[in-house]
Amino acid sequence: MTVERSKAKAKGRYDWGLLSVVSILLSLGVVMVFSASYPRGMEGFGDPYYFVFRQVVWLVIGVAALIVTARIPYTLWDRWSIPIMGVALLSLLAVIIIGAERFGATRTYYNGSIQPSEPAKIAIIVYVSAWLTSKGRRIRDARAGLLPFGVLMGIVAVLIVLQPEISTAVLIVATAAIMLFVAGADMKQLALVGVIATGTFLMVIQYSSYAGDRIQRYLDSMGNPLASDEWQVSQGVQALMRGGFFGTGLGNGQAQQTGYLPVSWSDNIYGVIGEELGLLGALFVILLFALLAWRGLRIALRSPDNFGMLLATGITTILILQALLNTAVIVAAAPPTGVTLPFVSYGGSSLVASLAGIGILLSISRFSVESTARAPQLGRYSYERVDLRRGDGRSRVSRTGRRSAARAGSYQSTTPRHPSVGDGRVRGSSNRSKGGGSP
Amino acid sequence: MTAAVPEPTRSAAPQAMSEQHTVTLESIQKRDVWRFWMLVFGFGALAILVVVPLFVHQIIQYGQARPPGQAHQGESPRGNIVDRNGALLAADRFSYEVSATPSYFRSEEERMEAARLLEELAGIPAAETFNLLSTYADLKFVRLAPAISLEAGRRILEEQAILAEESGVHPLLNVTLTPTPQRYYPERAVGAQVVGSLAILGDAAWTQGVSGIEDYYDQYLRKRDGVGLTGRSFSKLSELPADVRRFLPSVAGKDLILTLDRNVQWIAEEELQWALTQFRAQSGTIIVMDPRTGEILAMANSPTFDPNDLSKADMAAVQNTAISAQYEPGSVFKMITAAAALDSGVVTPTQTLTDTGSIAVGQRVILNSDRVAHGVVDMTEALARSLNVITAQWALMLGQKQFYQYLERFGFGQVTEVDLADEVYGLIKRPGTLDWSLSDLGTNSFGQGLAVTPIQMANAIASIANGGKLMRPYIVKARVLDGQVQFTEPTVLGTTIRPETAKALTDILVDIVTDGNSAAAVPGYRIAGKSGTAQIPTEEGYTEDETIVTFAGYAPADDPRFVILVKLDRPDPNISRWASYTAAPAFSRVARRLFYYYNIPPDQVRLGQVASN
Repeated sequence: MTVERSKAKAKGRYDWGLLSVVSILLSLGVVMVFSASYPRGMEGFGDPYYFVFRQVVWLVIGVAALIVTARIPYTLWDRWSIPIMGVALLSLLAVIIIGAERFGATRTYYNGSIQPSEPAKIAIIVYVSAWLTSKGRRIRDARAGLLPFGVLMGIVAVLIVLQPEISTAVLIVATAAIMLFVAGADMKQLALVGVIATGTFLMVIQYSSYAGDRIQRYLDSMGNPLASDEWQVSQGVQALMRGGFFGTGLGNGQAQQTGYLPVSWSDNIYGVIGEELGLLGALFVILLFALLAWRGLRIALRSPDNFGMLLATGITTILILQALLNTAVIVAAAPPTGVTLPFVSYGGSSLVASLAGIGILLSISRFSVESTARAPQLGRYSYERVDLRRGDGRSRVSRTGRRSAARAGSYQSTTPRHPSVGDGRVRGSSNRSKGGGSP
Repeated sequence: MTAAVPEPTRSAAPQAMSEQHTVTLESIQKRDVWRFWMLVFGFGALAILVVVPLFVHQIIQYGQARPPGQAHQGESPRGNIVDRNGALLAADRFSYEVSATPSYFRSEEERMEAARLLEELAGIPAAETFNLLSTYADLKFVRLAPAISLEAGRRILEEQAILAEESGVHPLLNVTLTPTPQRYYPERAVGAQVVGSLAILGDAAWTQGVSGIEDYYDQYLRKRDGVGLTGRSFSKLSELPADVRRFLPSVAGKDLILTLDRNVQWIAEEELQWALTQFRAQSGTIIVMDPRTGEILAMANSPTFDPNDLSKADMAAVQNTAISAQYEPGSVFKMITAAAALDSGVVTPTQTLTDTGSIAVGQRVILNSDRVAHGVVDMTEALARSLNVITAQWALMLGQKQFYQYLERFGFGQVTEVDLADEVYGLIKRPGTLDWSLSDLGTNSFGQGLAVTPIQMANAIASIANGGKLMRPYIVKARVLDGQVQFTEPTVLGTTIRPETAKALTDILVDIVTDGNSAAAVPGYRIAGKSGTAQIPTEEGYTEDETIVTFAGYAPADDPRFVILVKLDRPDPNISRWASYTAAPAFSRVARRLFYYYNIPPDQVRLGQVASN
């Protein structure tokens, strides 16, 4: 049976639940981008469809990227993780060095349409997954795990902060830390990382004129966002206030009109959703991201190897964190950032990168233990053990190269499969958690 | 969760497997779900941080958003105003107001960069911008340029859109562009008081009409306000002559076509200016109306102003004195008394009365202006010589009840309901009220002791020209909305006198002007009209030298095409203080040019044509 599975791995089932959630988010995104951008399109470009047309073009490109990444076995990324990371670092560096000398924002090149930090997010997650997988259990060793990890993330963070995109750097560092945590890092070490990262972050914003100012202005307005100095904050909150429970109805919002919510179609689209679709719409978006988290983490848990688990966790985490940060900005629970709402906001690079990430998740889901035929009687024990074996970091560490899942799959046949492995109590508790537990 | 993963379990013995593929309990640990649960818990906690404020803002604080007016909202576009031939009198020109939030700039470099880009994109001097941003560095708002062109604004907006997408942070993004329709009056001072002007009143967020049509039709013209057309009779904009449609419809799509004729207005203003210069008068008004419909063809006031720059205007000049200034009309009012006397039948055109040089009415002795007794005179002579004594006799013959009934029919003491802002009522004392006495009947008969507006006077005369039908004067010929046109229907307010009376009175008035060798005459044309010189009432009584002179008349007498009222305030007494030497020639000049403009041939030619037809 297992042999069969290893041969037929490409025929596994995609996670249609995830795909549905993302499709709904994308549809909502296109509708809302149109609703939020037509006044500006009319005014700025004489074309109400200016933004939504570009969004649809990027959507098509993104879906193509999704199809490609979904069809590529995710284990490919493991093997290519070092070159991918190299390209990502180089492109980040290139933006800083040769990037269009547009003042204050060297974040993009190529006529402003590509933000390398967006694909870089995925590349960094791929690399961190591969690296953590290769280290296996040794990540608990500070010199082998924490120190190199810290140095690596430091370099990456510095490059992104220099873009300058502090909020993206925060997202990436937070995601990497979560991956480190999921990979089994020592909690004490992780706490230390947290302290150091927070300190660094505070120092960076202290010395960064643009972020520090924003945060200061935000803190000043915490008490009463309505009277905020920060136009964006007060306008975002007011859009929500106008929306109420049911909203003003699609296209009836005021937020997108000139002089209200800035960049309503992009970073602040959640405000338009809150106004036009009301609390119902706003909660619906949060529900969709909750479902996305559930499907993403479910894929992670069921992935056949540690690399897949970490990769799925990383991609899911960064999307969720990004959504949380974006919505938190609108409700004035966080200072204004330049982070978009994944799948919904206008913005090409972000959309394509996010969809490529979803493609990778789908690819992992195809190899998921549950999605392949397995004898029902094996039940969760079987599942768990297969997982465990695949996730055995030591065997990997002991080898020099990285290894494909196919190879790992072959171990299975040699593995005894009976409930007596390990401690029943532990497994029992794991099972219970997992049974009810997919978020 | 952590408790469920005891340390001893983790360090349990390795499974019996090949060394390379050892599955340890440690590795079980690694995939254990508690870490995922922690993750989910963390996500959930963060989500609560979003959902709770969401509830607060959307449910508890629902509807507490500031009303639209308090948001920074630009001007609403306004419709165009064109004259009856389509000449543009008022239109929107769009521009952008450039402002910034200086406190958002953190460094010299940022200010410099924004200033540099604004100069590059829109030509706003960089040094000035930099100065403003530095000087007001602690403020939230500073205006960098009141109005830049649409194209320059677009360039900045496009740059901002690119920058916002790229980074969301850039000094240029602290610059705000507000599209501002700016009212533009291409004819400048021509018809300024009629067309009106805009201003920001009090702490209002946007401008509103403060005079003339801009005021009266303020809500209609403003696109944002939903005032539209009422009633039913519409025609299509496309059916109007192409000339009239030149500037229609506007961006706002709510436009007005006036009865005003730019050329007639120009003639009136030019001749008014001539009269003011010639007779060194302080101010003046000329009204030209079509008596058949009540259409106002021209309404000229001087001094005037340029509505494009209201701030420089003298507030007195903004006032449309033709409708909002009342004055004692003087002898020109005798036409009304004569009409009433004729219409009621108390006198006939040929009936003679004796002028003894004075007459006592109530407590007051009325004298002629020349203090001379003229003996037995008929109506024509009485009017031609403008005899106060005779006019007072007519009024006494009419009796107070009838006399004031006629004044009411002619519309005195009431607004004419012309569609212009700030019309005043005039002042007629009425029998039965405390401030009226019998002597008023006498003085009122020749235009003293009452106040009228020029438009009331012109309209009353127009009713005589129109065979006794009093029309409502109007200035908006048609309203245009969404490709539909609604014409103003001429409205008959009432009947003042019988047509026969009107005809008889016209003959008398023609005699006065044309045959009486008046300065108002235009050779070859029969013109009906009369002058009036009024002393100006002050607290110490009437002034001797300062007068208001009026001439009102219409032509051609048999088929009146226009009514002209000329009013001059305080002509220099060293030149002349009499209407017949000041207002009358000004009337003649306007009439002459109108005959030419309307291509009306001299009566002999015209009536000859009619006869031969």
